[in-house]
Amino acid sequence: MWVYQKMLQYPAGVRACNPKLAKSVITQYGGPDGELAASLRYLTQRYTMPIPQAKAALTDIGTEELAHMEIVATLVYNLIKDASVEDIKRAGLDGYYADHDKALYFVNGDGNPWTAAYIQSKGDPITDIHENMAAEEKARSTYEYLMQLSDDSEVDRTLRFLWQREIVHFQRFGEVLDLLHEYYSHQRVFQMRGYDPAALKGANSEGGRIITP
Amino acid sequence: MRRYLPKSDRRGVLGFNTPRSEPKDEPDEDLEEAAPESCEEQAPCAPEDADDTGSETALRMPWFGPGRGPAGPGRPGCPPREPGCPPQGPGCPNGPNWPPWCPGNPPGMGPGTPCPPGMGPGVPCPPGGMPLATAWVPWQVYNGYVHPCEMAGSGTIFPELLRCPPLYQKPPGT
Amino acid sequence: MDPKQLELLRRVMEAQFIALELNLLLDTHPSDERALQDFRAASRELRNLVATYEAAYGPLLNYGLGEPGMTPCWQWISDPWPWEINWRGKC
Repeated sequence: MWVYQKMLQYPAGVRACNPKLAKSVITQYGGPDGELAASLRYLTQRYTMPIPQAKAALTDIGTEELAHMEIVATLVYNLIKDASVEDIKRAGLDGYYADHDKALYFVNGDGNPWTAAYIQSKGDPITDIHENMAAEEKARSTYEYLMQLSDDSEVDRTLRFLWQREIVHFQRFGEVLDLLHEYYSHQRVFQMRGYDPAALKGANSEGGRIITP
Repeated sequence: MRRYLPKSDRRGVLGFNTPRSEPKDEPDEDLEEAAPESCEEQAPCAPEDADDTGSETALRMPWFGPGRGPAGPGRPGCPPREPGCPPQGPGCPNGPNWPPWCPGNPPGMGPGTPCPPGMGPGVPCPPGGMPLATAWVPWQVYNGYVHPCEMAGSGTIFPELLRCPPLYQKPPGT
Repeated sequence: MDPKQLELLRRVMEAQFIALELNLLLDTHPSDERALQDFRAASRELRNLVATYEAAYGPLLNYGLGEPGMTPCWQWISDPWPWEINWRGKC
């Protein structure tokens, strides 16, 4: 069940109104590699994960992506809220304005609406985690391109925060992948210093030690 | 580093054969003698003190490559240090001496490149125990965190995960 | 939003970020003792800061999880909402 905290994860802001920039940034709201896609992807994959670490990681990262969606929405909202109709027209947002005024909507940079075709929940946990790692990399690249497009220092620091979060999520999914490999092959193929295998007792879904066949 | 190997003679679920040895039951048993050679693909690594977890050397993160000295405010893409940041907030393990720099992008694992901690010559490298066509991400070993204020709101509290955009830089001349 | 409220909210956000990062780490490192200890401390710090903020400015959580306080009106709805907060004073 979800609870809402009445604060952003990061103090997002903008320096000046810029509907043209908003037109690009909105792709991380409703675009193929955006935060909505990320959160729905992870939250829907978690039901069929076999190990508790995967279920927890997908739940927590999926929830965090909703918080990121809120941050992107804040950027877009603040970039267009004080724009005049002339500014909107000059930014090429007439079509969007006609349908939505200055409200938020789930579209990509070109105005294509969000679709569930952006995400996959394949059922095979290894496949799903690879999908998620790819999604994090796609989001990271998109933030890099947006940082290139942006000339607003406040938007830049917010984008950089979100960019760094994608890298951290990639790391977490990589660790889940390793745990899944372990789960599937019933062996420890790799063990890093500081990681205690005996303590995994009770941490897998069978409730006991990983039993080798 | 310890390494566990499968007890059975069967192929694993993924259909591959991994090197086998006698089953080990006690997790505490020392398996150093059983460690295979490091794989020949592994680049020769600079000597690395793998147990160094909190000293100045570890903090300077030498694995970002030779010639990449500490970067700080003013390095392109790196955030400036936040003004008014407390010198030692709760959970800030290194206090006022924590270097407020943003490391450069980690280079590829070419010859002569320093290795990340925990890896090096003689250490079995993970791909040696894994089958082909398997992706693998190095495991993060928790070594304390830094207050977000010290990290200039950059997006993580773990310095080892801190990067500067762009993550992958095009080679010069392209 | 007045500067003191903004400052306290910023500290809550920082404490929340620390707890969140450690939460994600613990999801894949469930038996890491040191991370667990750090998380307990971070969680306690966050809850203290949230209690301080809520006592002064109203609830931060909905559905009964935030401290409702004794003010005569329902503070949850009050402005500004997070996307309206002006952190650096522009636009």
